[in-house]
Amino acid sequence: MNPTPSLVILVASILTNNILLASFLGMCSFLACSTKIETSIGLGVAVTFVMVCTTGLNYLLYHYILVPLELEFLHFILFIAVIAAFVQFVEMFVERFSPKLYHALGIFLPLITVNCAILGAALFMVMRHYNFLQSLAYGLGSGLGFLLALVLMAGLREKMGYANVPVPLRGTAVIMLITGVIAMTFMGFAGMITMQ
Amino acid sequence: MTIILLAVCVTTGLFLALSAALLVAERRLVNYGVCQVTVNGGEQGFAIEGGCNLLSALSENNITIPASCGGKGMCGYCKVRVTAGGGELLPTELPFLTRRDIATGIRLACQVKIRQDIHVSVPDFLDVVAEMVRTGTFDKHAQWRFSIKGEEHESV
Repeated sequence: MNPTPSLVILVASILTNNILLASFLGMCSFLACSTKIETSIGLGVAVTFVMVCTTGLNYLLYHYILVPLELEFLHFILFIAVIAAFVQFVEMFVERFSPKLYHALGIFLPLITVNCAILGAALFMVMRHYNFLQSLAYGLGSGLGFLLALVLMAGLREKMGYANVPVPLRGTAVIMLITGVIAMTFMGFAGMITMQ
Repeated sequence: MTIILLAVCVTTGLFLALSAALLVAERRLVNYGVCQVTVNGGEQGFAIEGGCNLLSALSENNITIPASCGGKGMCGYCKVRVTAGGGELLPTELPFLTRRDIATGIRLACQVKIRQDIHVSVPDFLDVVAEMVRTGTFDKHAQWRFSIKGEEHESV
């Protein structure tokens, strides 16, 4: 078992081990949905919610079904199935009970199914031997970290509309450069907490 | 050998369980019950099982709305005024609606999903044609043939 307290994992996964800026997972939806702060908050909240729930579900699946049967090698494909089914379920649930929320988040839900950050969080949880509470903290922290990075980027991109970007760098190129710079600044947090 | 069998069983079992859970959820959640559609302030009306779109509900009940794209949200002809129970405007409808349309509750019938009792007012089809001719937004290549006796019409 991993001895790190859950609270440390939560803070560390937001700042020092940010899933987007340290592991560069979930880049596709990061690049696509960071044009406006409003949409980025929508996607970030949806990702956070799905991440917390699926890390919990996948923890139970892994430790109570796969480990006793010695089928750990199946975890990749089964985690993906669980995530896809869960997202489908959330979509139905939200559409039924909160059309307003569906209106705001609905377009992001299909994007989340194929978001590698969510599968990444589930796989890191297994790799780092977290217990249930630590896994939930890690899922929540990674989701919030994703939200933070996304909103930062959206804020910068809104400002960048007024900037005079050199022609060869326009579009995705300058976004990638800025992401790299943000990732480097986040390395400044590294001395604060160390996480295994 | 046993490990392969076990792996196949677990994978199949999990997939079956997830599919079953989703099917049950679909039965429970995507079931809106019977909804009452009131047309033109009570002039016409019918009850229909919720969950389908307004355009198909109306045409199943012999209230024809012109929709050359067949309900894909592409042509923008199926405009109706929804006075109650239409839900929120969708981004797919925005390109076809003017500000005045939005303010007066015009929606594209093919994009409105029936979730509850709904009140709509449907324009007279001939008015629509007259409007198209006046503004020149009709499809010049389409020809319509109307039979005088019945309500049937067909495109040629």
